[in-house]
Formats: sequence, C-alpha cells, structure tokens
Amino acid sequence: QSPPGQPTVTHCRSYEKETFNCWWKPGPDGGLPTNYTLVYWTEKNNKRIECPDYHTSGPYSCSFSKAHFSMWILYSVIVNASNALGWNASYEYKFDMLDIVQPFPPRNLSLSYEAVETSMPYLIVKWNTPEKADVKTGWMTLVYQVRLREEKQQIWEEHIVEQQTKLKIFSLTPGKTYAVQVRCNADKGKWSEWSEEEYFQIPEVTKKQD
Amino acid sequence: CLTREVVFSSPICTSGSFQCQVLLSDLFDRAIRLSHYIHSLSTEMFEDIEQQYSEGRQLLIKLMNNCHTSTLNTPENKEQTLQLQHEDLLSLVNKLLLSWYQPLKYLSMKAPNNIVQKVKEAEEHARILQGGIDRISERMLTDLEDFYPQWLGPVDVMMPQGDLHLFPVYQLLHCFRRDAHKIDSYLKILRYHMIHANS
Repeated sequence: QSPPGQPTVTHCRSYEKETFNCWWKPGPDGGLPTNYTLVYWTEKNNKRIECPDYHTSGPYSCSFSKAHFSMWILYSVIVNASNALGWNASYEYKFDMLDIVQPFPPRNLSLSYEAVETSMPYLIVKWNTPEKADVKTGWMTLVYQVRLREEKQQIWEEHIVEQQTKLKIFSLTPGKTYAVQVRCNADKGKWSEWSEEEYFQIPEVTKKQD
Repeated sequence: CLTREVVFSSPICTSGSFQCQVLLSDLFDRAIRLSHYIHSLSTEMFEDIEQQYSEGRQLLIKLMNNCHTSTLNTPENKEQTLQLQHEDLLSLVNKLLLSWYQPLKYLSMKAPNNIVQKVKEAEEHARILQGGIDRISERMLTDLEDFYPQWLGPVDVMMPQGDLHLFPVYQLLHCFRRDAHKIDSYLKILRYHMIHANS
C-alpha cells in the first residue's frame, strides 16, 4: 500500500458558453480508498474555489454552474488525490474559456427529396440547433458543416453552412443511397462531435409517358 | 474592400427624411457582420502566433490579467450582459474599439509578415465598425464617452534570450482575440434587445 499516484486533468469543456465541466484521470490508487478534490482559481481571483458538483458529469469530473462561469478569463485547475498514507496533486491545468467552447452536436437531422418540374432535383438536409445553445439572443453564433458520402464509399463531400439549419444538395445520383452527418462550432471554436448518420436513397428517374 | 462610406452610407436625400432612414436593424446587421469578421481575423491571428511562437512555452501563465483593457468593468457572462443597460453596453463596445487603434498600429509594424496583412484588415474593418457604432449611438440617442483605456506600449517581460521581441505581439494578439469576441458578443446581445426583444 502507498500514497496515491498523480492524477491528470485531461480536459475541460463548455457546451454553451454558460457553464463548464472538467475531467481528470486518476493515478494508481495505492491499494487504498482514494478521495479526490478539485480546486480552481482565475486570473482575476486568486482564491481557490472547490468544485461545486462532482457527480453530474460522471466519474472523475466536476460540473461548474453559471455562478462559476466567466467567458473572457484564464482559469487554472488542480486535482488533489489523497488516501490514508498521503496525497498527490496534478499539474496545474490552465485554459482560456474561449478555447474550451465545444457545443453539443446538432439534433434531429432529417433528409427529404424535392423533384419539381421547374428545377433540378435536390436533397433537403435539415437539423435543429444543439442542446442548450442560445442562438436566439445571439450569445451563441453557430456555423455548421454537413458531410455526405455514397453509402459504400469512403470519401465525404463537405459543405459549410453559416447559421441556417437547412441545406439543399444538388446533382446526386438517382438510385444511390447516401449517408449524411452534421456538426457545428461556435465563434471559430472547437467542432462538436458529428451527429448520428442518416441515410437516404435517391429515387430512380421515372421515364415520362409520351 | 469595404469603405466607411459604402457600408454605412444611405441614399442621397434630405437629412432626417423618413424614407432615407437606414433601419436600426440594418445598422446592427452591418455592424455585426463586421464584428463577427474582426473576431474571426483575431482568432486566426492568435492561432498563427501560437503555432509560431508559443509551442511548449507555457505562456498562458504570463498572460495573467494584463490586457490593457482589463481595467474596464465588463460583463463576464450571458446574464451580466443581458442585464446591462443598452447605453452602457454600446458605450463599452465603443471604448473597447477605441482602445485598440494604437495597439493595432503597433502590430501592423511588429507582427510577423504572415500576420501583418490580417492586422491591417482588422484595422480597416474596426475603423468602419467605429462609424457604424457612431450611427447606432445617434439612433439610440446615446452619448458615447471619450474616455477609453490607453495602451501604454509593449509589455516588458523577462523571457529566455531570443524570445523578447515576439512576446508583446503574442500578448496583444491574445488580448485582441478576447476583446474582439467581447465586442461581437455585446453587439449581438444589444441587437437582440433593440430589435427582437421589442418586436
């Protein structure tokens, strides 16, 4: 049995520029029950403040509510591991809140097809803004990326969409099935994960009756 | 490229006549297109200098709380921003913009070559945005104060030999990204208040 090994703060993330979370990886526990505490401070307030919620974001995590959130400030985080024989602290993990903004993926991706006399047929891709993203007031401005590939191919075709939640894609091959995904980022920050894949088979062209 | 006369001008007609009034929502939309773009430029410039200069140098420690605009009492999250008086929010935007004329001038002379072009573009767009803010303040009947945080020149920081000349550039670009994001965020919230929240 021994004191605990050194924990490592792995990453922090703000999903909607209003709250944020941090996660850490424990070191070896020394064969004894180990207790973890996380503290943070900022460039404007050197006072160490303990994590308010160790549970909501799962094991080895801390969730910080709005009261702890400041958009334009440098944060420092340290995790401390302790057991009956001693303790060990992580390196200081420092970040700028601007750099950890990474939204949830867009939701409810849906595909439909439009083939009208007056124009080329096209695939309509629609989605909803990600969970908790306040785009209405302008606090979050999202840019989207849609990607599409033929079902049995590997190469994706990518489209950047500024702020709308809809895209028309032309020139798809009748009879082929396509996979589509969408992701987003806020204020040139990190891209979210990709949404679930949705599939759509483009209808065959039916010959007109003479 | 965009010039102040083009972006915020209105058709030739007698001053004040109703038809020629550019809608306040259009003034905000134009201003936000500029602030959004300036923020994008500031992010690219900071990413450029980070790749070139800060790799493995743990520079964030040296950036603690030393932007020349940190003396401004600015809202730090969404609730604080939403609660601030409209005139105060516009005044903050104005002060932040004014406080960056000198530092951007410095950056246009001292930044690495691959960044200088973006600095000059940011300078130009900030100038145009300033014109827009002036027009918006007229329409909101808001008097913008002349006071703004002065930049007192590049910081002196003890750095390992050979790195001295770029640290002030790195530090300014870090602060410019921060303030450009504040300007963009405050203008968007202000637009929401002035345009959407009232309709």
